[in-house]
Amino acid sequence: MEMAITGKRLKDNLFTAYCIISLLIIIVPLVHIIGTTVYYGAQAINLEFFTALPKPPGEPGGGIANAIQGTLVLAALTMAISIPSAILAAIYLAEYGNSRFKELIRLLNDTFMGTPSIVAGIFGYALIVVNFGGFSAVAGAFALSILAVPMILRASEEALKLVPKDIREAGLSLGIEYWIVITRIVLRTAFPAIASGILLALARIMGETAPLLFTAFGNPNFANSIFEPISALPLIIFIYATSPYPDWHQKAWGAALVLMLLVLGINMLVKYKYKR
Amino acid sequence: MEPENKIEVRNLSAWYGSFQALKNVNLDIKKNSLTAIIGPSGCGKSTFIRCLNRLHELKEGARVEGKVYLDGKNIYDKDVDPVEVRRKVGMVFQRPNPFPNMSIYDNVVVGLKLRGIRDKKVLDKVVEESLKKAALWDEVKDKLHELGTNLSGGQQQRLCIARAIATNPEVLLFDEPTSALDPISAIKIEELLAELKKNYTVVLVTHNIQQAGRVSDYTAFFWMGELIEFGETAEIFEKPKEKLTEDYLTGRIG
Repeated sequence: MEMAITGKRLKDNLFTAYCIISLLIIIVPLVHIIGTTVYYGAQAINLEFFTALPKPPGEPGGGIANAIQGTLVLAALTMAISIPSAILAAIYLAEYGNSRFKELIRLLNDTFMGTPSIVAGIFGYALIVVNFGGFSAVAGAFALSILAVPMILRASEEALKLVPKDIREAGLSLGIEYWIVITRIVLRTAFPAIASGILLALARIMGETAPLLFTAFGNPNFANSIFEPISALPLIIFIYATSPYPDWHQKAWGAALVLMLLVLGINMLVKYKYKR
Repeated sequence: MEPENKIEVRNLSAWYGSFQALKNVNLDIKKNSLTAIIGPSGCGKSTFIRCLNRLHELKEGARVEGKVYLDGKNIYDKDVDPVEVRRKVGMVFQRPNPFPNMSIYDNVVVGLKLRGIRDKKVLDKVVEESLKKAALWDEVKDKLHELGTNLSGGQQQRLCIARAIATNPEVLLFDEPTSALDPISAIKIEELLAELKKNYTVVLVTHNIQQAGRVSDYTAFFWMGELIEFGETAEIFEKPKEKLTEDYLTGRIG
């Protein structure tokens, strides 16, 4: 008996040790990435970094204001496209419609969620860039929306389904039309969960490079309108990191740090404001 | 003088898919009285009152046959808008269900606001009157802008009653309104029901026989989707005509 218990305890300890080692294997590179980004990125960051446009290659100084503008504009445009369409579609899936058609839509949506982001970029190129006047912020936002819509749609549908049936019936029993009950009461009840879905989609698209390569394209200056090519943080990270200039490498680190902090900020907002 | 009928139910049947939950029910509900609907779980009593405000038909596969006259007009006629019916026939549910993310104030007036009434003076007045009628005003008057869901269960249920009253209905349906509450909160709701029947026609579904005996003027006993017996509460409780009713009231069945 004594032996058997010791044997079990040994296995238990081995298993725990194995779990801890696996955790370390995962965490060490993660901490290394974050640490390196902070270390090199911090050296690039100063006021000029945020406010100035890039200097020509080889010339020191300058900043990434164009990329910050681009990321903010692209994020805003993408959300303007994605939020209304995804939420309305989610309302249809959660509240209306016949089930076989809805199953098909859900399957398509899940497929979209797994689509490589470069495909979204090429699709945006073929559909918008080729047909509507070349590279632009709008084309970039369109490609990013292909990634954002399925995420927001899924989160919103789940959120709407979690609203108890009681709430809908209580609204109806007050003599309110169904669509008003949905848009003004049910949607409001589901809002925290929908908001966290939106923010997670936002965090995802802000870090995407591939969809922008053939759509937003990049721009060494500020874009004067949403119909012009526009830069973005992940785009300049890609371009600067693959360039031969040490100064640009440093700027890429800086941009990576800014992007990382933005995404971290959004995730903190999700975590503390809209606890999932 | 015989009190006038507010609601006349004629040959009412209701289904969930192929399951018939109500079988050919005929019943008159008197104006400004309290009618209790009693019977064991699954006897169709909730289905019955959900037919009175056309909520039943919204469940998937649900179907209704027969007629329900409200002030002489059949609410199942083709030209009747169910939304209009529900404005006249309010409802309070088993579980207190104030709208989350909404203040006490907004919970009360949401029905009016969503119909486009924005005048703050009007809304303020409705909030005060409705909460007073629901015997909640004194407890919440200093925190009208806090969340309704922060109140206790009994207070939430009274808030739901205030919400139902605020849209100025003529009939109030209560679907086991005290079954999710503690005894003291339940008694408060009961006292409120006795008060409300002075101004509203009240229909109360309850599985609590004593409650029906205490508060109702009329009692209807349902059994497996059929109306077995209906009459003045005193009569039904003292000398039921049907053996089934007697067995249920004495606890032999159910």
